[in-house]
Amino acid sequence: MKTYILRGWKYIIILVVLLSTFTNKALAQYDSKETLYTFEKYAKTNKPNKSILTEILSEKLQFAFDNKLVNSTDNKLEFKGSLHGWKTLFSHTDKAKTAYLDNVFSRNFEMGGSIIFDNNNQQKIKGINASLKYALINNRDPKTFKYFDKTQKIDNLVKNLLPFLNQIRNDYQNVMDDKNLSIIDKERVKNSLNKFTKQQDISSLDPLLLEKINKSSIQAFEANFAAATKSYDSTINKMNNASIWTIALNSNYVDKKWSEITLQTEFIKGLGGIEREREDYPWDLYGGVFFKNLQDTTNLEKSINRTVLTGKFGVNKVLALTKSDIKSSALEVLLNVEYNYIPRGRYSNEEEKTFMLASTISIRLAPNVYFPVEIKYDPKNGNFFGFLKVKWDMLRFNQ
Amino acid sequence: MEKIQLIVEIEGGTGSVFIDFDSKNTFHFKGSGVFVKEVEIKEGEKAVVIAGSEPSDGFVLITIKKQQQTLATAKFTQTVFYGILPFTVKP
Repeated sequence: MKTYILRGWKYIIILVVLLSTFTNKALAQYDSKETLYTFEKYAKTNKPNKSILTEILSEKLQFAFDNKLVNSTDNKLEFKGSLHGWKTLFSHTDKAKTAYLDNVFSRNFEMGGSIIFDNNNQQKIKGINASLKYALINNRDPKTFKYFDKTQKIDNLVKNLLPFLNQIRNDYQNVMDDKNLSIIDKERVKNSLNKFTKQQDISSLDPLLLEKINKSSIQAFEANFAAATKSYDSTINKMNNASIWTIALNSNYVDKKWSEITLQTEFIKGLGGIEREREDYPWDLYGGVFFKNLQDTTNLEKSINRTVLTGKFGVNKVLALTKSDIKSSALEVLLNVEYNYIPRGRYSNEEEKTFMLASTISIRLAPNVYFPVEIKYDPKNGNFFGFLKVKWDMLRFNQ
Repeated sequence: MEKIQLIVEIEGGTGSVFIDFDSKNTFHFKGSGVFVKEVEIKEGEKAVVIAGSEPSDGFVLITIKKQQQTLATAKFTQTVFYGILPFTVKP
């Protein structure tokens, strides 16, 4: 019975996380919409520009439970957040809570910690972990995308439509001032303008207006219209395909010493194309380099001073979207290769260089809760490894 | 000259619209909100030229009024849109 309860604590945490998400809406109410002036409508109704993978940097505060599915190693309970997220958690002033766009450093700097549990006795805390992360590039947040800063070109192209339309309007005025035309003819011409506006179709103009327009000006108008639409698509693509590049340091403190230090850098770049359909289910390019140095605390006689260099490279694809108003990635898969190089401190029978195929399937259960399940395969030895993580984003905007 | 009101409602934060009355009175509105302009115009058959963009699925609603009477109205939801809206100004 006792063993059952001990094993069950992780499921209790998962349950708490799930229940807590429903309280999250209330916590997020104080976010100022005035400061988020850019893409709030886009984010709510259009295509998701972010994959779950993008959450390598927590937007505000993030809670995670890290567990190994197949191999037996320690479990971790993580709590991390951007400096801005921490500020909002402890601040009582509206300014700290709402100045989202202004706090670039605070949004890009993440601090966190975790409790490491002993795998053999899950009630026993084995150590703690501290982590620092900074986003050198962080352009994947649609709320920081200043739309009008990037749309002067679209405005100019739209403005270029005016001379052609003004010419039709002047011709219309002349028709209406023509005393030789009947009221019926004038009414027909007027109706054709309404039809033209409704259908956005030049051919719906009355022949009395069409005959005054030369073909070259129609072609110029249509070219401007196409260019404006294309320019818009290009602007949206820039946002959807934006990059995030982070550097991080994290360290484990176990048995009264810093037993493990990891330096890492990760990079994500969107690969979505011009076509809207492809943006619905975006592709991401992912790369990461991890340098880990650890002292084996189980060996009391001599530290093994183990060094592991890991490189990961792959692509992520969103496979399904949520059905909520905010279209988010509901299911996605990351396929990557992983190369491990262990120049020193290898365990017995461990190889210096290993190459693995890995796949991480991420499932979003609730707006802020997702499960990344990572499966690794060692093709040389035919071994499978599995890792499960539960992540919960607290205090996200627009949720 | 008669005074008319141009009312532009942009639902989404990304809407942008140019409105031209007579090549002299050209107005540009952008961002979400309801914008009102008063324009002096001669009586008779008139038309206003419209060109704009609205990337989100919000709408842009253009209404021309004289006092409480609606002279013309048009609603756009396209990414890039244009039109010529005819209306009659009576004394």
